[in-house]
Amino acid sequence: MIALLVKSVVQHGVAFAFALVLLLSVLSTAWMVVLGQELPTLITASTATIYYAGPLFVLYVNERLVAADRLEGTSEFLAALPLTLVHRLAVPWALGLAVVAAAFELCLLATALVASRREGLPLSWLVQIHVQVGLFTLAWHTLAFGVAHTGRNRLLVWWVFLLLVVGLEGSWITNPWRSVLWMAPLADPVEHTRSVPPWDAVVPVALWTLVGALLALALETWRGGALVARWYAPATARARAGRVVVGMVALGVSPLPGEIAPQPDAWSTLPAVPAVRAEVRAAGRSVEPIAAEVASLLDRIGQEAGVDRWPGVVLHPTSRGLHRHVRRAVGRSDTNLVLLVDPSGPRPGIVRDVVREVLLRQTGDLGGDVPGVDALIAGLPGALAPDPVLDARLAWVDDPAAPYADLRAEHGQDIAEAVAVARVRSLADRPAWVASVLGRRRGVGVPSLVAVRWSARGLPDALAATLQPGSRAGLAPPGLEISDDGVRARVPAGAEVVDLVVLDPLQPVPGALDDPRPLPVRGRDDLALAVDPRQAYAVRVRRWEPAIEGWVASAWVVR
Amino acid sequence: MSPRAWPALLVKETLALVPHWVGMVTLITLFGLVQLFDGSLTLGAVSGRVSAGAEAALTVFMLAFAAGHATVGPEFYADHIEMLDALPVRRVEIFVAKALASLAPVVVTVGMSLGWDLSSSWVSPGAPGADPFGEIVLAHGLLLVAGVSGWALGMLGSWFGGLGWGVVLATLVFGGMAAIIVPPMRPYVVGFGSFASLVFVSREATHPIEPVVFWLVLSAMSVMVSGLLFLGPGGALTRRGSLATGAVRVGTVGCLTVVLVGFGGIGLLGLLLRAPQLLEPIAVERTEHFRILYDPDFVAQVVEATDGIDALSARIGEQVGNPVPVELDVELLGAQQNHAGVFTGGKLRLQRGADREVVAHELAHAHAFAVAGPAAWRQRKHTRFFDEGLASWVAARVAGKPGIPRRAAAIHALDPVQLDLLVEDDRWIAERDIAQPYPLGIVFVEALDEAGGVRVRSCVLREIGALGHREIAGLALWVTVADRCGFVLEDVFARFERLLEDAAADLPPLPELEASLQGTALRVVDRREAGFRLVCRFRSRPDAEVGTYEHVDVVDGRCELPLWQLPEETFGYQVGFRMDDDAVFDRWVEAPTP
Repeated sequence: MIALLVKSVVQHGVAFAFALVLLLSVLSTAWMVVLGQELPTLITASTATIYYAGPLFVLYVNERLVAADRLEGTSEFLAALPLTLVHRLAVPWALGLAVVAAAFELCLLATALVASRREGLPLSWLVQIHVQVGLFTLAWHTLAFGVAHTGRNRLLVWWVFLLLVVGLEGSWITNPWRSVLWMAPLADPVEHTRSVPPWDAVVPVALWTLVGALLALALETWRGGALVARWYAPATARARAGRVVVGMVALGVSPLPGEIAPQPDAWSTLPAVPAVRAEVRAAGRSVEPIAAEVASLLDRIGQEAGVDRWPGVVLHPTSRGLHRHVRRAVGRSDTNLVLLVDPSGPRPGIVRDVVREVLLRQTGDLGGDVPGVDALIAGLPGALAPDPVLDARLAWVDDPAAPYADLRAEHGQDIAEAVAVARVRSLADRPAWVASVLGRRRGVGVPSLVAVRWSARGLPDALAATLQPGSRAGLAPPGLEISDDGVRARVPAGAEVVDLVVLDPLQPVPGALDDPRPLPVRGRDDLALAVDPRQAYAVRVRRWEPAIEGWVASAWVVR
Repeated sequence: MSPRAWPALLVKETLALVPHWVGMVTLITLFGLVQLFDGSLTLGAVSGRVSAGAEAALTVFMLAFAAGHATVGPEFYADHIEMLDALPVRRVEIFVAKALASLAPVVVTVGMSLGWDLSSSWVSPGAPGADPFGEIVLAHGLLLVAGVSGWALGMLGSWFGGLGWGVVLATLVFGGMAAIIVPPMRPYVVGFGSFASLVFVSREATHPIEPVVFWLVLSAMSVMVSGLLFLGPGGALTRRGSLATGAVRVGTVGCLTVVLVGFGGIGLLGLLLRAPQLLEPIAVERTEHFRILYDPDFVAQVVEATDGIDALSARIGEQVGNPVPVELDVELLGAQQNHAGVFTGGKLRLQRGADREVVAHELAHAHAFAVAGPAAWRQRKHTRFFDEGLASWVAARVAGKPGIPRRAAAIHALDPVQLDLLVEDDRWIAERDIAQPYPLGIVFVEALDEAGGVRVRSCVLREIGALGHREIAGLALWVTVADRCGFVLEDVFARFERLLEDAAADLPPLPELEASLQGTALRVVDRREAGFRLVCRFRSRPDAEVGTYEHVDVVDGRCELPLWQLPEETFGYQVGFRMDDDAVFDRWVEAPTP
């Protein structure tokens, strides 16, 4: 056994020394960073080096001790010697552990030596860090030792491990790095865990160590190590193809855990208002009455459409920065539709807007771009309730036969909605259409889009109600002056707000116009816009009309 | 060679590349299927994906490298060349067949991707008026160039066996580093640069032509060299112990070692240069609950800052609601840039000359940590304004200057604070000033004080800690905490707004700022001419470290852009004004880099 140990040291000693120099170089670089930026704890340099560069060192050591012996035929020579399997397994494992532990210990002690002069480094904390690093080392090394016995599959195994770890993030397990994986003892920076050591990491570390040890033992003992021998034999093209396919399939399916795992409901701590088919939560008392009305209206529509459960919705009170009274929160929630609501606005309009958003979500957010479905969603909430300002709004529409999307771009949401309401009210066989379009909850993606379009075939024609052109003249769009001083908007008389959207160049036309930046311009005739002439942007003006309880907007000017 | 031999030769070479065909087709099929169910594709323009061409180009480049690498050199390494020479075909014909067979999977992969994207754009055309066809074709043209380059370099690298992989990976890494140092190189660099990423100017997708020409010329040269080597001299290269292979091995491993060890050496040198400072004696003083470590040269300041620290800590504990004394190391030995001090979870690390207010601020964090527990840190993105506000509120009282900070009032007056933004720190930092939650947090704690004083403060901390393990939205967290602690969040926020508005009434008229880009400068105008000193601030990207923000004073109504700090295609700017030794900034604006 001693001879075996000496042979391994002589054979690999120089390579290990070279790898150690590289590891220490990384450590030294980490010192430079910590000292240069005056980070709070120099000891972080060693633990970060061990956490990030240490695994490469561990893999290299096991590559030399296990894989190189196999590939160069040394293992067959050793098998012919009077050495037991336990010796042949234990010596490389113990030597590897000693090399890795010594290297990591060197990193830690060298850093501690410097740190003790720079900052307070109590012995108790140093001991605690040693235990954490020891657990980390044991798990990484034993697992790497086990995986090294999988022969030419070892890269594939690590690849699958990597994808597994990445795929687990955001799935059933919260923060797998510090809860279930073998790197848990150092997953959090040591200065964070100084007063609360991560001793709960002992369990996953023990389990992963066991996995590594059992893997090595099982492969070496099963039919006299036939599998290991076969896996280290030269590969055929077919075997290589098989590995490539497995690797690619693993890559392809790695996002699936995150996709299919039930996402935690980030709003579940809020109580829902009582409803049969709706789940409406109010994140504030001022929006509770609105939530109750929304739930009631959704129940009515749900009964008509045959929907048992609408998507969850959270109403989030806010009083600032909304160009309308309802807006989607920017931070998306996968399980709920989160809407910012200004409760000081007109209640019926807010309820209609909220319900419209829920209906849109029911179509996987796809209905807004499908002709007919957009109008049905816009008009349905208003069609089920009396609307005293409907005729007043219709008076502003000069081309009532235009598609809903065009009306919205030309006149703004409030006027376009009135046309949609009028059309839905005169829609023949409305319950059947509602059930067809909204009866089934859609997901996202191309198949859902095709399904929504299919369910709405013929709907635009069915919604083509005959309406009289209105007599009111709308707002003129703003003029734009581009000069060396930048871009200025010329504001037409009567306008109160300029809406500005700096467009994403990849989405250059109006889809993004739902969330403009409102700039008050009452009484002004021009305004400097914070845009670069090379950017794509859109501008319009609008004015509040009390008679229609809504905004009259100009057409968008897109540059 | 007989024309009938060509198909046989191509089939033979294609069969040798079955793993590569399988890998590429599997990958593109899986990506296509994922794309089919990708919501962002149907909700936005198809072109959203093609703009991030750099990642796709790297994938295609590496797959193509693998195909090229498996082609010519291995015939010599495996001694198959003698068998090939026995066939009734010339070497040049074998080379052409190998080249075509190994290029085919690359072309097919890019073609499949093109087919997927065009089909997707047909099914889901995106916003009305958008025309992704040109963008998709341009992006795939660039992908093909990346693929051809990878394939050609793979063939060249095959002469050095597995070492070819090391060479190409090292080249990509060094290229990426060069692109960081010399930004004009970015469009030339595959993977870590921006090759194949489309640039949009006034809604038109473009890409510089020079990198495309560069890669095509390099590819042609690589193929030519590989072809010449295949005709004869390649044997000498691949012979065991050949000089060329040895040189490449030493070059690659040596280069990487030199870089790594070089950095290590610089680190060691830095350590040696700092040795006098590191070897200076540190004074240590113990109190009942603290171990104070400090630079003896700063003894006067340290005494002033930490005099009676046990009593100070007890008083802060009362204000935060923690009756249990905290035991800590307090290091007055230097703190990182942009920080006067920091509580790490295990100790306080402060600037050498930190004053008593800073000590109090960090002690307040330590007491809050003791009440809330470490789990509370997981909710920091929802609670930073409260954590920092509470610590600043405590520190202001210790310093004898309680009340509403004028700066907070000015922030609110310039752009009213939204609660939904305040409780989502990532969004706050993306849109507004990262430092504003400190003064605003003081006002929030002041508003909360009316709801129940220390009882509510400690309850809030405890409940945040109790929710620390949950995935929870910011507002849901705060509504829940408010319910559990017996106050109404909206009432507190209404008080918060009232306090700010009352304080704003005492402010002088504030600037009304307008900014516009003029060439390489930002023109800043105060329409109200309120007399404040105006400032600009720049960052290269929304997630840039705050330490990399560049502050520029407005001179003659202009701020010159620090272009050397803005290597990306777009950058962010803020304009603001000085107030009370600090600055009040308007929102971030994104603009294309001139």
